[in-house]
Amino acid sequence: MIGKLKNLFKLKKETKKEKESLEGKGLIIFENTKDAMKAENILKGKYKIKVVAPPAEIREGCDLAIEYELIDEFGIKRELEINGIKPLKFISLSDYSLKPLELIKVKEVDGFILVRCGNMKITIDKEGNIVNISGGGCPDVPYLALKLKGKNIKEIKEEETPKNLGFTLCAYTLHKAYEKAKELVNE
Amino acid sequence: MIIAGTMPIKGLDLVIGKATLKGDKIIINNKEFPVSMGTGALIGAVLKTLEYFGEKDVKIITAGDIGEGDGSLKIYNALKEIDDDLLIIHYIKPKISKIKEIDFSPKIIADAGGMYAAKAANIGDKFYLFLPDVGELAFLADEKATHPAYVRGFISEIDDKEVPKLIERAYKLKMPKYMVVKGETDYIVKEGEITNTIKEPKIEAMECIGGTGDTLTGIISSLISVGFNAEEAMSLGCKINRKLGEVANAKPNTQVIEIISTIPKALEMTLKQIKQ
Repeated sequence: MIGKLKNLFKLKKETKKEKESLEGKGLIIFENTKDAMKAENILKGKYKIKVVAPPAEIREGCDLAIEYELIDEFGIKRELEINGIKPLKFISLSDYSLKPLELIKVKEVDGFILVRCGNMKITIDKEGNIVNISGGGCPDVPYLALKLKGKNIKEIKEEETPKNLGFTLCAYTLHKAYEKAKELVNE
Repeated sequence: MIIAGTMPIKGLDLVIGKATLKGDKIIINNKEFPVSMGTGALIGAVLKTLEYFGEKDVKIITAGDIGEGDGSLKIYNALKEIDDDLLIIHYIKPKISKIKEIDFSPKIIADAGGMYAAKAANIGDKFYLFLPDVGELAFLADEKATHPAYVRGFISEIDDKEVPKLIERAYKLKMPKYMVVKGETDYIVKEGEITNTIKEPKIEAMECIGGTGDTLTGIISSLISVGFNAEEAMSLGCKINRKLGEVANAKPNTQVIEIISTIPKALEMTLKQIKQ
C-alpha cells in the first residue's frame, strides 16, 4: 500500500515537473521532416531548441517538431524565413489557445498619432516622422527606439523595420504597430 | 540600491560600477551611456531623485543586449550574489530558468523584462514590487501567459475600467506584496487591495513618451531607498511622475531626457503641495 502511494506521489511530482518544463516554451510544426531537420541545423547554437515529437492532437503530417523558447519566436521566424523554410505553425506548449497579440488601437494625442499593439506603442507626427516608441520590456525595445526615432516611416528600408532588427515578442508587437502606423500615413 | 538592466549596445560586456549623470549621458566606469528609454531612463531618474535628497549611492549592473539575450545572461549570472538590500531588475530578456537562480535576499523591484521573467517563472511572490501598465496587468492576471505579447484572446479587449477586476485575478496567482498599476489612473495595491488611486495631473502625452514608465520606477525606488515606506513612495512617486509631464509641458514628441531633468522641480512642488 505504502509502495503504491509512493508511486502515485512520484507520478504526480513528475507530471508537475513535466508541466513546469513546458513553461514559456513553444513548438514549431513543419510540413515535412526534411524542413524540421533543416531548421534544426540552422537554429542550433543560436537558440535553445530541441527536436521533439509533436503531441498527437496537433500532429499535422510531420512527426518531428522543434521545441523553442517563446520569447525567441520572432528571431527564429526571421532566421527560418531567410533560409527559405516556412513552418506550418508556431504554438505555445503551455496552452494552445495562447497566441501573439495582434489587436491594434489608434488615438490622436495633441495632433500626433499613437498606435498601440499589446504592450508596445509608436507615435508619429502627421508627416510620418517617428517621434517616440514606448512600452515593452525586452532588451531590443530600447535598441529599436534608438534606431527608429527621428526617421520618417515612409522612408524606412525593409532591413531597418522592427521585424528585421528585433528578436523578441516585444519587437513582434512593435512591428504590428509600426505596420499600422505606416498604413495610416500612406492613406 | 542596485539597478540591473541591459543597455542597447551590441557586444558590450558586463559593466558593474557607480553611476553619475553628465548632461544627457550616464557615466559608469568612465564609459558613457545614453539616457534613452529603458535602463538609461531608469538610472537617470534615480540619479536625479537621489540628488534632491543629497544621496548618490547607486550601483549599476549592466551589459549590452539588443534582444539576442547575451547581455541579459551575464546580468542574471551577476545577480546570483547581491551586496545590497534593494535591487531593481529592469530591461532584461525574460529567462524562466535564470530568474529562478538569482539572490532573493534583497527587496526586489521588478519592471519591464524583470517583471515578465518573474511572472513567467511563477515566482512573483518572491518580489517586493511590480509596476505593470494595464496591458501588462492583463498578462499578470493570465495564469497561462509567459509574455505580455503571447496571451489568450480575452486579454485583447481589456481597458482601464477593468483594472480592479484584473488586480483581483492577478492576486490569485503569485504576486509581490506591492504593485503600482500605471495608466489613465494609477492604482496603488497592497496585498491585492487597492489602497489609493492617483488621477491628477492628467497629461495625455506622457503615454507616448518612451521612458516615462522607467522614470516612475526610478522615482519610487529612490523614495523607498531614502526611507519612505512603500505605500508613501508609490503614491508620491505617481504624483511626481505625473507632475513631470506638467512641468516639462510634455508633448508626444518630448524626449525622456527633458522629462528627467525636471525631476527635482516636480519633486519639490509635489512635496510642498502635500505639506499644505
